[in-house]
Amino acid sequence: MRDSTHYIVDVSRIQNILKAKVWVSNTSSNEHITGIYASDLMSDVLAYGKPGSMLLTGLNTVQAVISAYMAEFRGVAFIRNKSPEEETLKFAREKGMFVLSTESDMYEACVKLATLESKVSEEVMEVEEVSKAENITTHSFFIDGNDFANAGLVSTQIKALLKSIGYDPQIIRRAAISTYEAEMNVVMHARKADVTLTASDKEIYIIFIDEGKGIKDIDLAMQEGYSTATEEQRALGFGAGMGLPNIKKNADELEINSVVDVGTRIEIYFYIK
Amino acid sequence: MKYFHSHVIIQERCKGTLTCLRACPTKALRYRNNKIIFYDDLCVDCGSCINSCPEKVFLPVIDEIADFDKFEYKVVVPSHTLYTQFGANTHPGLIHKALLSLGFDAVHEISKHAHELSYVVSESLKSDMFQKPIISNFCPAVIRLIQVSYPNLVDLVSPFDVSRELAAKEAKLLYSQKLGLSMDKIGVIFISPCPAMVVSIKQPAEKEKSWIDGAIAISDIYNRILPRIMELKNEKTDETNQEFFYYGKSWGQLGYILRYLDPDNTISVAGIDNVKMILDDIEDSRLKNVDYIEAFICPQGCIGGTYCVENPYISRHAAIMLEKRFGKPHEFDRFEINKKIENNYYQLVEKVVPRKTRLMESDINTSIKKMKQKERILTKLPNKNCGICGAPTCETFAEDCAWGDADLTDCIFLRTGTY
Repeated sequence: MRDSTHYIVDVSRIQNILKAKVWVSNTSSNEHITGIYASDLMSDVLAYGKPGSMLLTGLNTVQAVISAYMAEFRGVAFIRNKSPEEETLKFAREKGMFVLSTESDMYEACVKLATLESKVSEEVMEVEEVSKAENITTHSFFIDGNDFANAGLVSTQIKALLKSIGYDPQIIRRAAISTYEAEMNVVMHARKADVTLTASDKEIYIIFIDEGKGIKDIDLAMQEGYSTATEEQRALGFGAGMGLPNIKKNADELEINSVVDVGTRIEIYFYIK
Repeated sequence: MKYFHSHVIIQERCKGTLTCLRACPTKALRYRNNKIIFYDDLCVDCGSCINSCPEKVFLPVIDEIADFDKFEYKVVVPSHTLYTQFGANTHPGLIHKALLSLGFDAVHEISKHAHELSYVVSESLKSDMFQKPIISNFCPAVIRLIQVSYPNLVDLVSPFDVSRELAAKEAKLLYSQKLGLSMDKIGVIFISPCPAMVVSIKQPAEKEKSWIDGAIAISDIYNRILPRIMELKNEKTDETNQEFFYYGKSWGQLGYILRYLDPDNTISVAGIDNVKMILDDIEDSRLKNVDYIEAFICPQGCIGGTYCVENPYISRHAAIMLEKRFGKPHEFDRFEINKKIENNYYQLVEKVVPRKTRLMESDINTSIKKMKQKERILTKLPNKNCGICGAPTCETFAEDCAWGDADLTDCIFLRTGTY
């Protein structure tokens, strides 16, 4: 493992993968290493070892721990289940180093540690890869028709996302109102809907695709006060016939496509200046 | 911009219990390298950290009475909440007398101004001049919450100055005229129920400078006036005829800003989570036909403030009883007030503006990148919100990692590979 800070590995993770026995453990809470050096030749350790590493060795003498200490290593792991002598353990304890031993031989231990290394670097790579990705983000949501108790949940989530991107407050407000109205339409008139939000530095695009009774006459539905809501829904304060007109008023662009008894597709655009 | 805050952090006292970062409603605190890190742009001065910390790490910033000796004439303006701290039988006149015995030269009451202001608000709600619903600016923590988390609602914050400021303004004008002193020689001191109001005096969100010169905590003054009040009670002096007691003493309690307004079109809300719910509803235009919203960060309103001594439920009882026993309606001259409205006496010149957080300062591209990165990191985290990394939740930790403020290896689960 190279000594970049991202390659920090906790000693307990090394211990897990080597199924190692712990002879001496470093009591500090963030016990970790930044690299591994495997050798039986102590002169090599002193010449090539990097500070912060762990020494993997078959040389079961106090000399191994002393060399590791000189090279500013954090600890030592002995292969083939060797039991270190009391003198070795005492030195390690004094210097705050850890001592492990594993059943594996040198080759097997190296292979296991190499696997761990690639796993760790994969984790780091994944995170780095994201930062290279395109500056566009997509999120999907689901709305259940007739679920009045949870009505407004999706628009709240969308609003939170837009806020965490830091769009202009006025655009967020318009988007929040539009999505809330569209969501209420789904809850009142459709069985279910899939919602997708796509956001970039150019635009915010929200699409609602629902399965439901559809809209017979879109032009009529766009008129303020026109509503097909039931008496019960109106009694609850919904269905004032302001939904679609309100979306239109707040959105930069609105597209509605509908097939009666199949469903409706509402696309809402907000352009970022 | 450097924000003034209601507390200073005494790092040496901290034992790392993580209580504060869990309590902070805006997630402004972290614990890294055995130190508390404070994101001061996110803090709304609600006082949760001061209340929650068992080690008293957060030291409130508050004035002492001696700090005001530089003024030639000292006028004290008590918060309404003060009157509710001494039980249901203590006449406010006694409290005023006790305050004067501490060396203040005069007591100026807020109630009158509160009453006038609600008339002003109810008049202005009739006109179409203002965007509705108007959100009360009485609670400074609510204003700051809007600045930080609801920037698209800043325009709805009440355009009128609050009652404590109006009281201070009148006190300054009144006594400078009466005594022939310049206004800066008259010190107006507020007795505050909470840290947020202290901040609103030291660094107002809605104007350049406060009319109030400083603030003392109710809890600091409580022990000093209590014995005096007891003495006065034993002396059996009759205070009930004093003219300085007006109807409306119970302001600061949930529901009382609204009492002169039409209940049809008003809503009261208290407690930060409830306030957030209402603000969310306003954002989505979900609240229909509501003209005015009274909101307090503290549960029960100001009687639940950090510096209050009495249990808020007992205070509420006291407030109701006090009003029943001693309340007198304050008659004001409508003609005069209407004239003041025309002269913009009550209106604030400046507007509340959103705060610049790290999000607001970066461009959309960067923040989308950061958000995606945060979401990827979040999938790697255990979502146990243990707080051991020093962030209150896994989500905040992921965000900190994305912004480069924290390192993935701070997560104990990632580091040990146990997740």
